[in-house]
Amino acid sequence: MLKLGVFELTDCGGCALNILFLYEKLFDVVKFYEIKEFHMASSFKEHDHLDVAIVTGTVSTQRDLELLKHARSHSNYLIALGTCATHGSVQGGVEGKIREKLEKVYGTKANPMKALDSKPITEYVAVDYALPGCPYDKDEIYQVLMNIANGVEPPKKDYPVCIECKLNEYECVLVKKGIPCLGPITLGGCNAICVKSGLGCIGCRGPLPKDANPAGEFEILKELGYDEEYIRKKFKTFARGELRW
Amino acid sequence: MSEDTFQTHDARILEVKDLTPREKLFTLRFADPELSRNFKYRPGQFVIVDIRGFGEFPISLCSTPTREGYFQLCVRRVGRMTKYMHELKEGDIVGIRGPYGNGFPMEVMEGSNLVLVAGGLGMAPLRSVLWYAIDSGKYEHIYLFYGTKSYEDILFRDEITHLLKHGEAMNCTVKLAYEVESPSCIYLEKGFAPRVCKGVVTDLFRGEEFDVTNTYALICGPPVMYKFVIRELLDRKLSPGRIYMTLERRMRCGVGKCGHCIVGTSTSIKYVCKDGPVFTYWDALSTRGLI
Amino acid sequence: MRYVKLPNENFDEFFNSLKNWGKVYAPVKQGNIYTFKNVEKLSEVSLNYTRTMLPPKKFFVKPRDEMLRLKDSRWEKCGEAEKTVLFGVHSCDIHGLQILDKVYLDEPADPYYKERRENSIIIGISCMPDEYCFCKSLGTDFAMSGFDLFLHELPDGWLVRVGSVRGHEISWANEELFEEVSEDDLKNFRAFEERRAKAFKKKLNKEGLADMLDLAYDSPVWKKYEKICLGCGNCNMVCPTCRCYEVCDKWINAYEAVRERRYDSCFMVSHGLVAGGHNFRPTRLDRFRHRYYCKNYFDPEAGFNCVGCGRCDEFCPAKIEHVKVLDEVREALE
Repeated sequence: MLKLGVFELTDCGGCALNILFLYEKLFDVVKFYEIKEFHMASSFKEHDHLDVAIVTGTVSTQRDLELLKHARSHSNYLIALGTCATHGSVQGGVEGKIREKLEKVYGTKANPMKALDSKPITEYVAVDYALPGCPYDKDEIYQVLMNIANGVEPPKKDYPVCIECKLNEYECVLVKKGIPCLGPITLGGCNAICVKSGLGCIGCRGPLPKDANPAGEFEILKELGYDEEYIRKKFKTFARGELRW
Repeated sequence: MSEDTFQTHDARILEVKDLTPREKLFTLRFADPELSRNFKYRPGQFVIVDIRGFGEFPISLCSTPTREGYFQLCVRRVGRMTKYMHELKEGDIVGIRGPYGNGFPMEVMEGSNLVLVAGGLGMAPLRSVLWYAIDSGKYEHIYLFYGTKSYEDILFRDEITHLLKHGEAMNCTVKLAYEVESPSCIYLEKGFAPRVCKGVVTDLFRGEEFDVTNTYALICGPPVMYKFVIRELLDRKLSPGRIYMTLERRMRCGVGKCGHCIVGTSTSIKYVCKDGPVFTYWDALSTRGLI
Repeated sequence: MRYVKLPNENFDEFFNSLKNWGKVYAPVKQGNIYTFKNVEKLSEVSLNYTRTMLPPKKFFVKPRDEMLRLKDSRWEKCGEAEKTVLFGVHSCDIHGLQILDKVYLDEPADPYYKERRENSIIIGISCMPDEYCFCKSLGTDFAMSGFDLFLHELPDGWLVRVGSVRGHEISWANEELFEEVSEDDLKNFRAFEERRAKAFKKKLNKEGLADMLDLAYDSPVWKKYEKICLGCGNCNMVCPTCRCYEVCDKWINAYEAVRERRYDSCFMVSHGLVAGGHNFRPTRLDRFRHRYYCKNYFDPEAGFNCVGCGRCDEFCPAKIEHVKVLDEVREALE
């Protein structure tokens, strides 16, 4: 039996909840794992040592940072789960220093919550596996956990959203409808779920890690009549300005 | 047979041996005795190892078909599959399919000199040729030029030292170049100079002349090595048709379907898995992207 | 070749009779694209479709294809091929399938492809080119084999070419629906073909194409397109002759797994990667050029690896045009 802990830092909670949405497949997971910490599922807590730690959310407060360091130092294998943990997501994309933002909202620079500038956990600790997505596809974490349970390093994806979009035969919203879609430069794995509903990809899984061509995408969107400011904003929603051109 | 093109067969691990900190030698035998008896292969061919439920990887056979009843794979720990393979123990089962690829044309080369040039892990497929040639006794003289990073990285170290000592009696000259100095290397060099020296594999060509009408060169090593070794061979006027190289690609199927090993240009497209993995340097000259 | 005529008034009945031979799939409009789907009625079929997004390849190598199922740590082969009738396949796609046959039926044959191919009936249909088509330049605008029946549009029905014994059996079973071909029908058939030949807007100069490209290895044109191309792989996914696939094992429960293959694209960084981290096609330029080399490879037995269907152009987000790229490469060389 492997010992598993799920740690939640600052996020919407969806990524931790999504694990529970595995429903009957959770029984397969607990055949291999003993859950030692999972705030959303149980008040039980015990972690001298963990084989696998799953961390969701961004580091946005001192408490987050301490919890993250605890998870790291008590686990063999750490998974950054969800775009907050891997890329910083929406809160990571907010510009400006935390003290200035506090002052703007509360009129004082005092920081009783010990808030920090929101950053992905990858900026603070070494991560063994990063699985982005807002939220990720729940089958992905299932496959990752099954691989680890059998002593195999889980495979990593390297293809854009377009690949799965075509595998599913969804109508291309970018080419056929002129809807701004970041699919070509965004890491796949989501099964193109947004395009399935006729929406353009918003890039929630972050840019394609090795060979994204944001400059090319920028030109295409401009050609379609979207203004530069709009495109720029779209690019950095989830990726904290990682998409430069 | 096409019904089970992608089916893999149970093979039992008979022995696991640490060759270096990164490489292990697995000795395997098919669980089905009939399959084991009928498993015939040529030096230079490869098999696909199946870690069922997790994936497959291609790997060249490093044992010689002249020794029957088992086959050997030298596995370097580089990816998720090989990492898992390294955890396996004697008695464990893996899936195997193959052998695939063309292999070296051993019959064509009979009666000639063989110059085997190995760099690093390239020693693995050439070990198959080496022992095939020694066992069969059908070749004029066998040279093995082996370039290694350090003493610790020498694959099949006991066999190499054995051949350094007693190779001449088997018509086999072994030369070894190492890059990183260590007491063990210096000790080897003292014993076997000038056949063992500090340097790279091309340094081993110094002072060697071959009868180019009666010699074949067989090369395997990291991609950067080919250019330099081939230059040495061409300088000695060895025909590109007599230079054989075995190549590596990321094959999925092993049988010319999945397209991962396609190389070449509009005038010449090759599947490394079925047209190769053994190619002549002439093939490389006429198929861009091969090396 | 044997010719018969199917008058318009019998078309519906003929179509319905096809269900006796298998599940009927035909091009159907979905939003702004066409797709081969299971159909019950002729009225659902878009007879004058341009091209489906995914080519009929999807019936023989499925986009996601379960190959093996792990039970008690042994693989069992998945899937029985169902009897299938592909109705309304264009000539270029028939050529595309014949190119795939060379790959997948070459020994050792791919068992899945082979079974599905043996269990399917191909019924071709004539078409008019749109702005993307350039099959005429490649000689794939007319199929001489690779189909069971081929329907050519006539003003009052269809001229049917019978391309196989099975095709003959189908027409035989519906003997009463067919007529002999008249002189007028042949005249109309020729007139249609002439009109069609004149309708092509795009033309590929294939003169010495393979050699020209080989010489253009360092062409600045590749560099130009490296910047435009997104490397998204859409062109590969929709190509009727792209055959690359990636294999992935997946767990369906704690003890059972499946081995699944899916279409892969040579635009993926990992495509040219080997164990140990060396990449044979490290840049997008390498990969872009590789695709053009692969598509324009001339096999003396099978011709080019491209059938001029125009899918890669239609579904490229960056609007890269296959023919234009080749023309530019040629121009830069001269």
